[in-house]
Amino acid sequence: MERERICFTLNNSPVEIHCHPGERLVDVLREQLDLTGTKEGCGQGECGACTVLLDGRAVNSCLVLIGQVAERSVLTIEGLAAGGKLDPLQTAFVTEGAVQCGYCTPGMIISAKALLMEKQNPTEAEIKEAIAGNLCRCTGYIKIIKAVQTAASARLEG
Amino acid sequence: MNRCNFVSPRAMSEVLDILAADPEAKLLAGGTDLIVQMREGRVSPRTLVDLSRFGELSYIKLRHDTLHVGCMTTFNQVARNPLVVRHAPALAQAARQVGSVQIRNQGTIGGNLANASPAADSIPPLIALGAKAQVVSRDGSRSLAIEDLLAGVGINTLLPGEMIAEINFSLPAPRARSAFVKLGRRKAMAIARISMAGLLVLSADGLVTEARLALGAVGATVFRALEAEAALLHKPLDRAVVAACLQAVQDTVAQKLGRRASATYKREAIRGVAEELFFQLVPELSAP
Amino acid sequence: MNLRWIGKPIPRQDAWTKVTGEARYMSDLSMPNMLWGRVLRSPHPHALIKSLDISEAVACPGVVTVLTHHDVPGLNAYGIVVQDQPVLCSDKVRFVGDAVAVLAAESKEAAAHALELIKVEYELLPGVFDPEVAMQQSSPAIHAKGNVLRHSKVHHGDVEAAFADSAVVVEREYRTSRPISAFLETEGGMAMFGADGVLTVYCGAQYPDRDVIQVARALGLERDKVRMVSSLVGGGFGGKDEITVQIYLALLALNTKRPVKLVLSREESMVTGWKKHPMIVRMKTGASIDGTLLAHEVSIISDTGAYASLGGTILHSAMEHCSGPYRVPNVKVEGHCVYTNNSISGAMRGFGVNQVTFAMETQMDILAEELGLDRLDIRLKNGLKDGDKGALGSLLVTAMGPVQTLQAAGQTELWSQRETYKAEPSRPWKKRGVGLAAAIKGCGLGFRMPDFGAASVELLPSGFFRVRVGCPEIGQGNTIAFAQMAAEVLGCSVDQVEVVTGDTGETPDSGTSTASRSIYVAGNAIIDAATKVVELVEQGISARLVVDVEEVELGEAEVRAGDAILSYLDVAALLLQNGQTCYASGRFDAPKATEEVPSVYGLPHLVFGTNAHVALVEVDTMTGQVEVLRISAVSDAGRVINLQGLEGQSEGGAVMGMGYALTEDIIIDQGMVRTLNFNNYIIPTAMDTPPISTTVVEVVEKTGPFGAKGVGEVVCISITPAITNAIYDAVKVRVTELPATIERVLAGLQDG
Repeated sequence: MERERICFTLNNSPVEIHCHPGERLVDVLREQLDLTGTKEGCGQGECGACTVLLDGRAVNSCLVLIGQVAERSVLTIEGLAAGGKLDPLQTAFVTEGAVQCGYCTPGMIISAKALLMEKQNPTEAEIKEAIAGNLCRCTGYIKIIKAVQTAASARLEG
Repeated sequence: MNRCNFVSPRAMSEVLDILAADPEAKLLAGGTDLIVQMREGRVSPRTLVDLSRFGELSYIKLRHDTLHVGCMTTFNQVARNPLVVRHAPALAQAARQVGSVQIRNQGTIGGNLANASPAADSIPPLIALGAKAQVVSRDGSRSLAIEDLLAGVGINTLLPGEMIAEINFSLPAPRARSAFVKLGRRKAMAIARISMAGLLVLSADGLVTEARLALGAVGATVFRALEAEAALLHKPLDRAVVAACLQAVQDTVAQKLGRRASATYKREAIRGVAEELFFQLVPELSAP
Repeated sequence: MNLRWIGKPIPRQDAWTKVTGEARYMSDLSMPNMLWGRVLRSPHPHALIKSLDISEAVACPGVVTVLTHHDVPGLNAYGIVVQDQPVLCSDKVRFVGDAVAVLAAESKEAAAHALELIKVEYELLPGVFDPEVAMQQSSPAIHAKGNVLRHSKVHHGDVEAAFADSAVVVEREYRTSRPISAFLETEGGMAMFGADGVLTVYCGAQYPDRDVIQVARALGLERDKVRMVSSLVGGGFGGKDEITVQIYLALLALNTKRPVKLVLSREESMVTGWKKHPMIVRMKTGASIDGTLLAHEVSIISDTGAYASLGGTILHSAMEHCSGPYRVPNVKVEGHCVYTNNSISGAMRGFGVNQVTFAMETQMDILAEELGLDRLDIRLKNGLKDGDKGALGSLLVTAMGPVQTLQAAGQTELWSQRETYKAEPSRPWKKRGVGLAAAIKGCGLGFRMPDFGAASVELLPSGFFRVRVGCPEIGQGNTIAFAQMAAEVLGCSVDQVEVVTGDTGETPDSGTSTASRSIYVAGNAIIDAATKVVELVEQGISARLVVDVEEVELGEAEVRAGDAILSYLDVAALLLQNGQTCYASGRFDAPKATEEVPSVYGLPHLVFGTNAHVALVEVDTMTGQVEVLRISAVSDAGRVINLQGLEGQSEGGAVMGMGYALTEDIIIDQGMVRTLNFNNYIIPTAMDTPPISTTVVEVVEKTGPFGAKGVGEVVCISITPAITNAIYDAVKVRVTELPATIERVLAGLQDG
């Protein structure tokens, strides 16, 4: 099938790619744009490892076709550290011990980012709900929840 | 997925033209079911019609006591909408229990309905609310009850060239209560093992004047438990009446499932789901 | 011991690139000119291959190579213990997912298309799916040597007499499920053939040095022509201990002389991945009137699926741990590990101990009830201590933690205030219960297998110390623990140490990252190497600056030499420019028991970690739904190296064991895998996870590095029976079959 020119905003910069609009966003990110921070864990929207922000909202990039992304804005884990300065979530994930194998981490942080963009000081229940679509097999989530709380407080104080 | 023809119309009329010309074309709404089905090879449409490029199908608005929900409205938009939360809590609850945040940001109410899964979270509350689907094609439009849109597991009654443009329902009476309960194997990312939605209207003197109960994942389609509704109508909502209603729900489920493998469990567990539903609808009844 | 770094909750160094997305896992790698590989797999559980036609696939545009068993140059088989699993099946397939061909193509799409063009003609054979049926002589043979992979018996004491003396005897049958590691990163990676003639396979795995042996043997290459890079790993849990896709990658790269990438889909991973052994455990346990355990008779039938891998060893591990953390003087245990056409079972966190501990800890609760004893008291009374004999009669001579761990569990608020926690369920028809259980798990490889640690420590020109260890970082956090142990010996700050793991081109073979062993063995090797490097630095500086060796002292950021203060960069310059190497290798051979348990190969273990769990559940009596509301974990890790890491293991282990208790199971129906993805393989989400507290009990093990033992597995074992015992406490439903699904619990409620 035909390839098309597709333009969208990626990590705050315009990009133009040539591909079939039916390709999955996760494949375009990982294979065409070499942004492998976005992981694929299930291909079915069941694990959240491929979570990115699409127009500011968390979505599974395995369930988004690149044609749907045209003229919209995508933020991946690589775009989170603005100007080289880590997002408070990234720092908190390290200091709170929320990272083990780390494969779920980028998607988990993006989901948490979507939450904190909406709610400055979320409750524990809101944090759990926000990351319930992101499976983690290593940590048991406890330190991830703590890291989100720590990042929220850092932002409130900072 | 990249072997198909991908089109992104900019207006509703274009969509209807494409559907008229190629009734096999598949509408891509949120994609949370369709893309999974395509990946698994269960469907391989020749043409995919992306509905995300124009905003006119995403809305929730109140007009003359009717709530109109555009087919492309996402579950998160439904779950958070103050009008839905206030007037149709069952629908808000159900929308909030769909999959995960990610799925709720993509998945749409129109897509959920068209997909016609017996376990679809949004369908029981829509049926309990007496909602209708506005179905359009290039040749016109028609309105049909949600129940009449469902024909079987994954089968809807849309005709070639038709699509669901909107879902709407009259606002429940001011004294109405509604709720949704889902039994799954975990608290998030769960497929309903059984689901149930209910809407009750009580008169000033405490009699049930309106009752609609819808059951999910206990048959090929979501359906209304009419006997159980009858057990409530024109009666005071006391423990005995609720018990009779629960029994009727249980009998309905037992009858519906017959000798299916899941019947052994579901015909018992439905009682717990219904009990929880009434706990939410009339918490004062369950006070010890 | 005055310790500077040991025990501190120091954040992991590898986390920084993981939070930015920069970290490249092996399945993230790509190269110019790279091909995509795919594996053709059997759709049948048991069949003969009558013909195999690849001609159409070979002719398909974009296809570069299609390989079958004819193209395996070396031994067409692999397996950690016995090599009975074909790389590519030649005459017969034994499970759905058995590999028949591999191919490489210019694109994923071309590879997928070509896969459909390979024609295989099968002659279906009757399948064997029930391990007890498989054991019968009359059953179809899955392997020529028969269906029983291992049959072992141990008997010590006089079991019959002890049963006769017992006041109560409890006899039950338990059946366990088939969970899978379900690491978030599926099996995958990339391989390339270098100009130097070395084949490098990048693939997340738990023992690269053994993978080299298996790859070289299958490809007919010298081992020094194969290099494995195994780290980073997106989760292992045992499921990346055996070969996964390494040999396919190697074959394709060797044949095409181009980089080849191959990553399993989640569905492929679920079908072909290593699962925990389902076991049928029959236990008969006798106790005196005061609850003292007297006799224990156990039969274990373990379904290893189509191939051996570690099935025999796992059976033996189950046998060794069949009395849980408890002392029983008279034990008779018999185990069968049996081939079936049900997928493949292998290593998974706990290594046979989860299954028997679930059974034993249920027996303990039943005994307590029948004797009218407190559930904690009966456990404390029988808890294993140093000097006791284990289930197989071997003497336990290292630091045993069951009693201390159980005492601490008894002191948790959740246990001591359990009636308060149970008092107010959230609905009138729901009931709450609290359960308790404990477990031990041997650290390391047991009596026979070579069990050593190796490491090197080197002062680099940058002034940093590099620690190299073979055992890969699989997510468990061994790299930060290695850095802390090295820094503790060297005297420098942890930031001054870089750790490299899991690269056979760079790191010394230090055994597997499995069996709760890497901190224990590699830690000791690091201490050895770092001690030597301290001497090298001290002597070197002493000679260069002409000061007494005693006056040279390595500090956090600098080295003091008499009156002079040198940065590590200065030290490196001073020593290395003058041709002195500041490199030392270290070695540790794990101590072994003095004698082997007769008739079970490879046992006993010497060192054991202990864990206990208290769980609060709420059971919906109308739907059978179980919600875990709170977990208290007590961990005996010996000396804790990194508290944050220990808590992370404890929390993650508890949630994994909770999934084992309630939801996780791969359903196989007549050999067909029905559970293909995370929509019906139900892993707990954050919303399902209750608060988890971890209490540390440090029963210091003198052979361990700074007194540490391993905890990676024991943290996920006793949580399962703690939950099922809590279900009984709530609603008097005895769970004897895992997982305790809503259907099973409701059925139990109806029976009661």
